Amino acid sequence: MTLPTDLRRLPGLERALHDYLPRQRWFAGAAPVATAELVATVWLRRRSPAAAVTVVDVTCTDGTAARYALLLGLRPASEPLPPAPAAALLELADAPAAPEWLVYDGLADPTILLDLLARTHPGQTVTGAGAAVRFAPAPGGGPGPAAPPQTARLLAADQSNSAATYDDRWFLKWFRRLWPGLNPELELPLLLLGNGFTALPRPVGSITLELADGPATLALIQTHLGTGSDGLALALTSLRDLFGDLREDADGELPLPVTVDQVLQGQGSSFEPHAAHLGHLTAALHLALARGGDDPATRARTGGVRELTAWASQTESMLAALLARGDPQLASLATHRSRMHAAIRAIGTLATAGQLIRVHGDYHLGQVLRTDNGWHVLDFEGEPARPMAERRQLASPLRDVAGMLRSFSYAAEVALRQQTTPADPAWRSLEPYGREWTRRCQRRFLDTYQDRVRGTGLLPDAPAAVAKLLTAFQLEKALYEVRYEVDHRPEWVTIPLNGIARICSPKAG
Amino acid sequence: MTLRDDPTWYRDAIFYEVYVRGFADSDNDGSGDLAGVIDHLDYLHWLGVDCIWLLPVLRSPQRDGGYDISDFYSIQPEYGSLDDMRRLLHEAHARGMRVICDLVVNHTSDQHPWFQEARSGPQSPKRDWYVWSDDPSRYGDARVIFVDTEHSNWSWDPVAGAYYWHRFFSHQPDLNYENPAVQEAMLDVVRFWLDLGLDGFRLDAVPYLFEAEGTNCENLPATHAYLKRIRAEVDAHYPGRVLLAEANQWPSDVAAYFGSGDECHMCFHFPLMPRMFMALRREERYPITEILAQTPEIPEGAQWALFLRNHDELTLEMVSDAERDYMYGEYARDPRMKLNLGIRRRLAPLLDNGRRQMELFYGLLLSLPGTPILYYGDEIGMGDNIYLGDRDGVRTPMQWSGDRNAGFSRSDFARLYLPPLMDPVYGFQACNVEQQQRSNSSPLQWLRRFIQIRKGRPVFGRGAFEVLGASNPSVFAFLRTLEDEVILCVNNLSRFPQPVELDLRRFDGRSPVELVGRVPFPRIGDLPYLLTLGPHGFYWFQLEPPA
Repeated sequence: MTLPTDLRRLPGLERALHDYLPRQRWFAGAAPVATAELVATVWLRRRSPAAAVTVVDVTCTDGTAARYALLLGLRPASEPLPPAPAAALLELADAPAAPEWLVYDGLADPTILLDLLARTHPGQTVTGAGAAVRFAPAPGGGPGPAAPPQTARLLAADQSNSAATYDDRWFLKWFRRLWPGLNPELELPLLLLGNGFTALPRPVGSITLELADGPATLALIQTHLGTGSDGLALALTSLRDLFGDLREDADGELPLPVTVDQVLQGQGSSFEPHAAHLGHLTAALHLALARGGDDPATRARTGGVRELTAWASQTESMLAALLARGDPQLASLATHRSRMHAAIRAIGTLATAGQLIRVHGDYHLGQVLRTDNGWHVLDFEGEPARPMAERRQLASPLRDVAGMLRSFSYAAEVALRQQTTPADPAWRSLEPYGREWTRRCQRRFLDTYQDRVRGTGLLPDAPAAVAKLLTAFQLEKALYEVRYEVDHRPEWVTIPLNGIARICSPKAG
Repeated sequence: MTLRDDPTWYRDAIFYEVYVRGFADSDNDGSGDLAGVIDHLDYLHWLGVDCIWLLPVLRSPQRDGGYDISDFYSIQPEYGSLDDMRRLLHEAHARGMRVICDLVVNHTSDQHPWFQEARSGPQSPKRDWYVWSDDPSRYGDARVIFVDTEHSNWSWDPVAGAYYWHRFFSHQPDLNYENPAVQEAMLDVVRFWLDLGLDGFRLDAVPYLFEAEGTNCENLPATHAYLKRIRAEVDAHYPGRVLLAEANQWPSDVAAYFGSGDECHMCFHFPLMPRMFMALRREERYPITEILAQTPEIPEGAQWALFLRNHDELTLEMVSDAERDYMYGEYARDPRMKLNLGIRRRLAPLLDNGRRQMELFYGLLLSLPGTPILYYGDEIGMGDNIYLGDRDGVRTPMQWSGDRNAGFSRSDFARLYLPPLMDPVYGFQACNVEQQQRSNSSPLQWLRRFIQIRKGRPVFGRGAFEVLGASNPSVFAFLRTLEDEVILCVNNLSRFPQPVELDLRRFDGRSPVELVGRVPFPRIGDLPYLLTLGPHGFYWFQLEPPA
């Protein structure tokens, strides 16, 4: 019943991973697993429940490859498993030596979760086969808890990582897909706190994997902000109220007594005050990011022709790739092709791109949280599907701004789809109100943002330059959305396509 | 029946605010009186009221609803006499109810003999009882409160040949508390009324007693020190009486009026009320939870006084400019509805007479941490008359029945101090106590039922308060906890049905029992607890431990 030092010698494990991995929500592969190879094992506990950090290199039958970090829990088959979802269990049943050990997702085991936390304060390093795991308190994260948490539990899985909570005071975020390098989710909050921006969850501790090719952030422990509502939930609340009023009027078959503008002007549940708060919050975030830190990779610099040309060509090639699909759903893209080209190329003629800073990178209404203590920014890890080096690149803050502008549009379109369908006559009467809601929120957000950053040098001085950049970045974002929706939710592809139509002809709506 | 001898009785109590002039007229002179209040004590007792708060009844020229006192030792003649007051106290106490009274300590009427004497000449012994100056720019950092009528806190008195200081109307000169004689005189007033048997005071306008150059002349340390003197007097000689402070300030400043349990027993929570209206209109809980999060802990035994509406305008002093514009836009579409920095309307019209909204608001009033204060007439959903001047619109006669003059008075209609409401929605034919007492489904009966539910459970008045988060912004859920008793309140601020998932795992094994019908709900387990709420619906659950 002894455990092997190298888990590769546990019979049937690699085989079991073939079945286990594709069942996990965070698994990125689109094709069946071809090979799953354990490249490192670091034992954290060898007594039951035993726990090991393992690194698995996975190739799929379509040739894609990715590296994952697993925290495996092991208990003798004679012991009961912790209460955990069935998906957490690795089926070793067909292995010859089974069922001597039950192997499962260690994050589902409260004992193992509490063990992880205990190791981060004051910190320790555990060495194993092919790797070491380094536990550390967050710099400036203060001492450990005066009263250590007593309970821990795994939360529902996210698309890219797994989360657990300690006494609902702290969060553990376990990054499933392993990218070499420092994860911005750890890096940026520390930078921001150092620069006086505190509207975010505070890092408390981190777990880093030291591999031959360098360190990779494995997990992060941060404070829990308390339950709140994300910006999307609040935007949908506002839109529900707006459409609810209009439906009541429309059902009476009476002409609406006031104009679209008047309705929005008098909307008691307007989202505009929130949009203004978010404009302030975003400006404060960017100004704190622009101050940078000790690491040269965080220092702001001015962007010029090189960046502008690169951005334009990236967007052009995304557009070209979408057009090349010849998908009839994307027919309207071709209609706006020349306008899009013009808008994208317009940034190539600018003299400056303004400052390039570290940015949030995946900024939208779902990433801002309203709690009883105001608004907060969440999730600094950037787009989880991109390598760390790419996510840590300097970029224009207007990229985040464009993300939020698109998000207002998305919220209105989603709310409209909750009320009605395009075939329903109500669609045509409600749609203008959703557009006006979007326009007003976008304007309030942008106005407050620009008021706050004016004179700081963050953005190009010329308003026309800012407008051109915003248009191009919104197009880029919308094209990205088109690609996502076409692949995942084709019935929603009209949302970014409508968005593109409006971006290209702003006067129309 | 006798009074409870618990000195912290006010924490479990239901308060009811009575405008004596508008409540009941016993002698048919067109104005309500103390005898009229006595005639309706059985009604208040039936409703579940524990403490009656009388708006000012002391002698006054009545230029500000009695907040301009000209004699601290006698009752306004049309309200009755000291004997009437003694009888009211006796009759209320016999029913287990208490009575507190407004006391204006900050200022007097300009008709008060003290002021008349003070203005007569610089050598007058009372000269120094008020605040005089030759220079109207002193204390320039103090804001003007009644911005609709006053331009300065100083007014010129041609008789005195000097400016006098007044934080409110110019006919209400501020007393000079720097003068020890004033401090003693006011303590004498306090002793007189407590000796008579009064159960306490609602202390009007307490933040402004002292002035100091370079400050906004509010909440000064000397002001707190004097209030502590009053409290010490109460504790030493009148235990069980209550001091309720009116300090229209931010919660962190108001909390200072509790001292360390050695100043006022109760303070009004002013900023909460406008935010409840804001939350309802926005269909999200954050305007409420944000102000509650900013509300500091208060000393043991201290208590917030909560209200939905009162005799003043819905005050918007303690909200931001943007929030004030918002409230005007939503609740005061007609400019006549505005007064000073507020909205002069009653609860029912503010809520468009929405029955569910009113029930939700009363549900919140009765379950949030504090002691609820009802405003006369709001229990039956009375309306207002914005075409009457100043705050008279929310002070029209109590509507007792469909009889002549709403059953308020048998005087000639023309003699009434104000006309009763007669419109088809809120008028006394449609909306009165008699008719609502007869109908089991009336707002009055509904409210009485909820008051009774609250009264049996000290957890509502004394329990700890904790907001339960939920990702649905329209749902406002919280816990009230006292020892083993746990009450879960879940409120839907939206006019649409809402689902909510609550994290109740720490009560694993307990069973929620709904408090109105004692309906058992499914037992709490390890999963998020799912509830659905109707439009503006709310639940009160007792979380019962496993048997």
